[in-house]
Amino acid sequence: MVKNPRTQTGTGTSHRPLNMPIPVTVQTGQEESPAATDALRRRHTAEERRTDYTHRRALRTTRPHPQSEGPLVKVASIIDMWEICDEWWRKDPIKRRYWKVKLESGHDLTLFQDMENGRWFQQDY
Amino acid sequence: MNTACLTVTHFPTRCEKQRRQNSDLRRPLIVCDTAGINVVDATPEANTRRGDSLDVARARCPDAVVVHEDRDHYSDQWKMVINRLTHVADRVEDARRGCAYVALRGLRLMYGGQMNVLNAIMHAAPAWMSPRLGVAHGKFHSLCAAITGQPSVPNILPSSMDDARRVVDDMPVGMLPLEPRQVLMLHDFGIFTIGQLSSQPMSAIQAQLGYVGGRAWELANGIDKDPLVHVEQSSSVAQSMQFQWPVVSIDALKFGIHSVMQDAFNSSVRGNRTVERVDVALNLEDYPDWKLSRTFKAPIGEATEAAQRVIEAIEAELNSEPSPMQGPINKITVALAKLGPPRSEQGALWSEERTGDINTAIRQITARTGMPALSRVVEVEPWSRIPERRQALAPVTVR
Repeated sequence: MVKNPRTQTGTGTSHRPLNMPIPVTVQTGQEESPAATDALRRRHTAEERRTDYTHRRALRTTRPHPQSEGPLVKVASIIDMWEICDEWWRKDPIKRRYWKVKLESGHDLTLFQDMENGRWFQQDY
Repeated sequence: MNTACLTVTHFPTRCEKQRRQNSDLRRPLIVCDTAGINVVDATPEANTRRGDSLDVARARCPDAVVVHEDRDHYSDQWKMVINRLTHVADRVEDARRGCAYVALRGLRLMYGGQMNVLNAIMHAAPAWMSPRLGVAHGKFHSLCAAITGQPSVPNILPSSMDDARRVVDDMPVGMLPLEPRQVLMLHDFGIFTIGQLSSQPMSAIQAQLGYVGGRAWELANGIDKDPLVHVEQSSSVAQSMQFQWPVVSIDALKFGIHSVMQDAFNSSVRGNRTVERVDVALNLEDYPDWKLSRTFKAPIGEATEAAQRVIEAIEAELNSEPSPMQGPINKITVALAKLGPPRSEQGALWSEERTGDINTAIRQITARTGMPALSRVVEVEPWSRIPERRQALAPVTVR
């Protein structure tokens, strides 16, 4: 028996999610905690900002991270760490470990590691 | 020649083949009912036909691809054809799914010749439907002409009644509007073709089959008194919204309904007209669409009010067992139907010039960029543990 394809017949209007995860480079230290990152220096082009990729597309992309241009900023201290695990009943579950860190530059940042593929992102929580 | 018949044979299988353009095209296709018991339609290679048991059909053709029928999809496709036909001619009858009649009177002058008219009618159906077109005096003969003709080539019966009768004389009596048992009864009498029926006295046929028999005899003799009943076309406005990810929460659903309802009410097609009915279709992931209609006691002219009524109806349905929302929602489609005259309202004492200016500016920007250029931040799932799902930018649309 063949499943009904439920073909879409039109696009219609769409909304754009806010606060999408931004791919960043992170060096990890003890217990896989972030030790240094380029999140502050990351400057995304306007095109990248406009891209309406879903979190799933962003997390699964095979495109490599943009190469860092210079040294990473070291993490001075870990402020907090927590995990979320959601939509485990779907084929693309969401499993993330968030880290709130203070950088040596004095900035506070929230990073997370996608536990499904190990990639790092910056996202305000 | 006053009637054209546009017919599409094997309509369900053609629709399914069109949906599966990239796969399974070479294998025979069987469309079964939703219960998976009987065959609804099949391609000729499947060596089965409508009404056969699915088990028997599978035994006859083990290679066949079996799909469940999707009546909503077939109806949508056929409505599209009927809608196009109503733009070609002023009188169109939607006889049934896959068969429509068009009155040709007065169209030749408008289109500059009969072939131009027929081409316009033929092109109302997409090429993948392989439509057949028959032209004759009356609906029945035009149907016979369409069925006996080649796909995409108009089949015009001779204008003289005797010649036209000769064409249909060899066709089986099953073509006439008779019930299967009546056809079998005629077979028992040795009447197999329309020509054999027409040679009988009308009273004899009427005596056996009653009024229906009399009508069948008339049709067999070229007497077609059936008028063409024009399809009622009611204008409607449809808008849809595709979610970035499949949503499961009622909050996200409410946001979507409000958002898409606003877009639909802002549509220039609606203008200031009120709405009596709203049809909502929720495209679910891995499950059939969930469709819901809400008819209002009094026509509504405000998007917020209509959205609220629809949400109340959805919440009532969700509380029932089993829940109709079986899976996450991919897309919301809202159609405003039964558009009526505008509701008279007391105008504002002072004109809202500032709002008018902003709306004009938004329209100009949208026209210049070709897309909604302004967005507003809306709460989608403010409680969500996943940050990017809490708020979204929704396009601002104005009428």
